[in-house]
Amino acid sequence: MLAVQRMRQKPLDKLFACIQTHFTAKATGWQIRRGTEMAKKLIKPTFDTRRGVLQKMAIGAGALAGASAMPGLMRYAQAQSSEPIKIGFQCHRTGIGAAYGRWYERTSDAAVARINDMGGINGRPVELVIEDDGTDPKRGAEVLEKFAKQSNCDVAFGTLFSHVVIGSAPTAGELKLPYFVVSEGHHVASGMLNRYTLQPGITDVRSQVIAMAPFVADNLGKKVTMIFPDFAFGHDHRDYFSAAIKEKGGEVIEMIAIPPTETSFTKYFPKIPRETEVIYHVMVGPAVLTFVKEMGEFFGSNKPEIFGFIDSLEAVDINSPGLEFLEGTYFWEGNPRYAQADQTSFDKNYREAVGVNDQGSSITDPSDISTYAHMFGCWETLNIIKKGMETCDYKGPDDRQALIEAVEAMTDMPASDDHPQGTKEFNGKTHQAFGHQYISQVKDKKLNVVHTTPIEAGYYPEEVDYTKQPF
Amino acid sequence: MRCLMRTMHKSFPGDKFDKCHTDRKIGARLFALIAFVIAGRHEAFAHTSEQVFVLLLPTQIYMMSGVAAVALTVVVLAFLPADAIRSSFRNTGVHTPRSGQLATVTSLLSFLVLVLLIIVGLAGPRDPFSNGLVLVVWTLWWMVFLTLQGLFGDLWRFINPWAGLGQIVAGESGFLRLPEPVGKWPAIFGFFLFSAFMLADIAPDDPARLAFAVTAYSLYTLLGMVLFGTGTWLARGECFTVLLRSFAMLSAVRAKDGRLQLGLPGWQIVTDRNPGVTTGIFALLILAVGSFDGLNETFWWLAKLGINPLEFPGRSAVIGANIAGLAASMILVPALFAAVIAIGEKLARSTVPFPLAFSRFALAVLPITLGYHIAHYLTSFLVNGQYALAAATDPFANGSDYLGLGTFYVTTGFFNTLSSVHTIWVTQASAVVIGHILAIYVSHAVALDLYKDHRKAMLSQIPSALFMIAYTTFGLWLLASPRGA
Repeated sequence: MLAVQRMRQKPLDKLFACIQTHFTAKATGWQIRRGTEMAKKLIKPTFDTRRGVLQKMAIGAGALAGASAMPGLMRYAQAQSSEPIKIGFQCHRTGIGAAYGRWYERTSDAAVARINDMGGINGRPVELVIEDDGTDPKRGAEVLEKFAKQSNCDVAFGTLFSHVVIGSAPTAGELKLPYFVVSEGHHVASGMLNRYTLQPGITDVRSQVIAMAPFVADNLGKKVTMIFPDFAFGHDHRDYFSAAIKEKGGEVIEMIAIPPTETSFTKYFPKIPRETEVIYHVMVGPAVLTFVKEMGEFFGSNKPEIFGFIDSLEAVDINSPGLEFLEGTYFWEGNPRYAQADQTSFDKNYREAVGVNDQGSSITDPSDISTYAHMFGCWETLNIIKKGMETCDYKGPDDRQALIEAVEAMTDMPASDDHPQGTKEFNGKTHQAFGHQYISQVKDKKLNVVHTTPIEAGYYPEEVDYTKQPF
Repeated sequence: MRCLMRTMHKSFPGDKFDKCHTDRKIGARLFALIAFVIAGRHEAFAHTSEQVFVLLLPTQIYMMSGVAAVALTVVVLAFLPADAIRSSFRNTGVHTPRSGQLATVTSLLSFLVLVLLIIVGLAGPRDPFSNGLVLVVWTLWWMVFLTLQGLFGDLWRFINPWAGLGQIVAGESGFLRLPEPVGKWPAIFGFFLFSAFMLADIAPDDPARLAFAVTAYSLYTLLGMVLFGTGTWLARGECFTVLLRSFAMLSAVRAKDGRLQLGLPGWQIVTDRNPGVTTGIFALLILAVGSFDGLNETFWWLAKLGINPLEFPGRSAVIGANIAGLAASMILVPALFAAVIAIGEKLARSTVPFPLAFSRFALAVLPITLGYHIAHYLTSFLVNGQYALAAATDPFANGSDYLGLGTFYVTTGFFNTLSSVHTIWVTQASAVVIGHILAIYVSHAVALDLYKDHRKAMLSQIPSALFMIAYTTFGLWLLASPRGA
């Protein structure tokens, strides 16, 4: 049935493609006009990228650009006569990833505004071409095709949800379109994708999980009960963590797998063994607050140590009613939501540019909590694309292979305004970045970083060498 | 349709999952939801990023009073004096200038706007939330305008983009005659195609795809008007005009034949003595599509399809299922309603012809449809409306700020605070419950008008009142259900 539907859609798709190509090829096309606008705007001290959210980035991006204003000036004349570099942004506008998509877009807009304020890439302005992937793998693949064939993008970038990445990557390979993903999935480093797919701006889940084990074993306890949703996402945590904690002399004494459609959890808590020292939980979905609330009711004030992944509460206010029980518990954070006492200037500048306050929420609406633990990946990836293009003196689609090689050759990525989350090491063979992870404790209804893992804590044996694959 | 802010999590492809365990909690939340309106309780937290707080709502105790209150409306209606019900739907009117020519002019302007929007769809920003066509069609028109039409009457005749053109190009008489027995079946066919595009297409938000669909439908409409005459095609073949005219019947006001008439909302339904069977079917189909629109996102539905809602694979994986579900809903709802009316007729030992009873009572369901429409789209509107605002202030995506909004970020923070969430919930639940009460009231008035005898009317209403209670409960269940698609 599905196959029939797909076949029927193809002629329509071709028609859309024809119409769109016709329009976008014309000089009157919006995107080209936007590119011209951008080129003009490079002369100005502030730069507005696309709208969607109207972002007056002058404050943040301007501050970041200040240091490099002179090189920018030198590139102006060149920029005015240059076509923009187009980065196709595969965005979860609709579907189950939309909450992430909104913040990924906001962060990417800010990153591009900053890059343009600094003179663009190789003297050319940068333009984001946003397509909605519907958080759907088939649509994701279609979107990549649009980037390559209709809007003439130089590279594709952006998406989070793993099934979309996995569904899209083969198309990127076929089209020979560099595809920079920000998904955290282990699928890039596992070798299941291809040479055109890279994840240089965010660490993968395997690395994150194994980096947690030493802290848990050394500080919280050695007897761990894991509570996880009973599907692949939860199984990854189960497998990676139980192996890693064993290496540190600990053990997982009980694994409680919860069906994904469950909305009440009281019957599972009695399965937690009495000798449990630490509970490791990674629940996600609409029932996550119910889970926390019911766990609180079950334990009362006499709870074991509790460790979770912030994915459960990403974009959710830690002060929400029902979450009082989390006081004193620990979370992995990809990037600390609350500005810390030892906040770097990089994080400060980054927050300012994206419009996020010290509590990790929007400056225009403090109740709008960002996806702070993940969205830095967009910012950093765009800066890596910039650096890669500058290294290989990228001129156009003919230089795509050179761009991949330039990124593969990267290793150290020191903490900077380009990398506000912290220093990273990039492994060109596995196309995967490794970095610091943050462990925060909820104290006085804030997430306070109590431990930063060394980069090496997230290393694992290489499973692939993409550099040996032909282009 | 698409609900934009979904629960947040990463997803990895993997295993299927176990059996659904949601029913008990959903029932509890449903009770709580009703309780918000009926009992005015403030304990419930409701949802953040649309869903997370939903499942924290308090339980059972409030639901009993909620459902009891709904049931009570039926009892009260049964004992209300017939004359009181009849007189409440009387209308009064004043003479006003006819607006026929004005409507033709505004309709032509509307057509020009539509052409511009199609160009924007094809050549404008590829981001659906920045594209004027997508925002106008799905947010301003489908979410908002349908509601305005239901509240304020037939505004559509002024902005219908095809009517004016039809008057000029096709006139009132076409080349062919659309036989009377065909009724509104062409509109029903069109509405099915539209619903399938909205609910089953992989990307109805894609600007170019939408532009193509709007163009194709416009050409189809023009062809229909040329073949069968403008008035005939708009009244029976053009599904949006049929849909919007149905919604307009809910309004307190109606401008017709140089008179502006005013009455209790629903009076137009009560006084329409022979709407026609296909008009009744169409009214029920709007409800059916709205219901499936909500149902197809629930954990319950996804579980039936064997899909893990926490890693929903995307619309491309459910195209067939959505078309099948949509078609089944569009058959089941009218069939069920027909059975309900037939039973009511039997109970009342009625001599009223069944088609007449069916069509008149079917229109009485419209308040439930509008109530659910408002409730269903409220949260999406709160987010998408901001994107529309951002697009309006910067229509050419060049950084302008014509509306002077200054620094403007789209927010969903109102899903995160108790007071705003409370307001959202009360609004949603109120829309559903008010729609329900009005539907029962209108239906009863129609029964009195049909059967004349109060006892007969009351007996005939027992099955349809049960149907409405069941449907309202279903509507509240949909709002309170965890969603994954």
